[in-house]
Amino acid sequence: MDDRALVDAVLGGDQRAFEQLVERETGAVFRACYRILGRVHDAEDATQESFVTAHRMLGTFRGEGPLAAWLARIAVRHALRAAARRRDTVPIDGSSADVPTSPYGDPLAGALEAERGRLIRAAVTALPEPYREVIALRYFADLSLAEIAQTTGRPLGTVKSHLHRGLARLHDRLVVEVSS
Amino acid sequence: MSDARARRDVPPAGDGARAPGSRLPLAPDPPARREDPEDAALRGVAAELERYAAAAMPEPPSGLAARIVSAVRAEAPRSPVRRLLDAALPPRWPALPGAVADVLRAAVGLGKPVALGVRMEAAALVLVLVVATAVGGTLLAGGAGALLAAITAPGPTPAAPSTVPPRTVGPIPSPEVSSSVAPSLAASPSARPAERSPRATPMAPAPAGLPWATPGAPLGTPNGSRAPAASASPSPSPSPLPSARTSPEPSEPSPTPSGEGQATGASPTESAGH
Repeated sequence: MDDRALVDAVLGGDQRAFEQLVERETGAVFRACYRILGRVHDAEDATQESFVTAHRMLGTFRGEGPLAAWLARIAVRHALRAAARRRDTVPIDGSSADVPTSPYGDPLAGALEAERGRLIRAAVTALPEPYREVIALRYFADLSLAEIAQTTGRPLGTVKSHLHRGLARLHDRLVVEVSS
Repeated sequence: MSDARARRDVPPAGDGARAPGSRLPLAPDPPARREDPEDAALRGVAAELERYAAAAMPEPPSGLAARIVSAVRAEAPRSPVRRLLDAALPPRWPALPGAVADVLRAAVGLGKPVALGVRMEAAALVLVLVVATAVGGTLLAGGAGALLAAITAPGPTPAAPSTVPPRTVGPIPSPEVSSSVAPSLAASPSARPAERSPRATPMAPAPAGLPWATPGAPLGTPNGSRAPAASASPSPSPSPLPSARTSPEPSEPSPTPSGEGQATGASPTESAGH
């Protein structure tokens, strides 16, 4: 079933169609949320909120781009908002993110990987709009530039310009973070 | 990052290098094809982001899809107004401002900057809201008016008594009919001002040939004295005495030799007052 038919079925009240939509897109939405938030539980909550919002706003889907890109934009927005909320809180266990297990079983490599990921997430979430959204959609949600342009309604040249400037700002922030 | 570094390590083909078997040096590369350090740094950042994304590839926990479906089903109860709108409006109505914005964009021109697109969206939203408000207000006013009319008008109301007699358009009354109506009309002189003038006015010129119409004397009295002002308004009560001012035909002279009797005793006001 293509995107338009799936959306029409959900809008018509077909619960089975919505379950199919959730099963098909949960993986991509969850990964995008996890890359922004760095925690499985937070990513689960953001994924659930994203699907609830998508179900409520499904009538606004115009079919200009893929449904996965439309969902990814909602998920990225929810995850970025959750990351901004979480910036002011400190977890009880002291860890800011799940430490990934190193494939080689080296705890030092795992800690370095976690620290690198924390720096990247902090630098991306601290970017101003629209650079933050474009970079998150491109690298965390795995969307192409054309899909970003379709989903956000911006010209392709504008998306490229935003990506270039966003990378430049991200570079400056990362240099400052690493040097400090 | 490694590609950029490897590209930088490779010596450039220009700068005096000679092609094998050629005596002329090769043309140097154009400046655009050289690696910009800023681009290299940005490419490094992009590669770092891609590496991070490739490392963070967890699978969603089992049961997440079922949890999402149940959460959507048990969504928090919405406000009654929202539920009423959802029930009353078609499911595609949230897409209406977007569709109007597309039309506006097509009218203004495609490929415009983002700010114009945002303005178009806002203008479309305002336009849709204004039209919806106008239509809703009209329907509401019409419904309220019909309801009020149904409540306040239980039955036919009696016709209100009119103080003005109905105007009838018909043939002009004959003289006989006019004479029968004449006394009642004569009782109200103010109702017929055209009948009182000009003989009722004190400044009316006397007919020629009368004995009191002496030249040089003021008009109105035979001997020059002014007539009382009240005589200008004749009383509707009929007076038995002949009056020079109210008598319709002064052709017959008065029996009294002096005009004083005429002026004082014949005053219709005095006769009315007594």
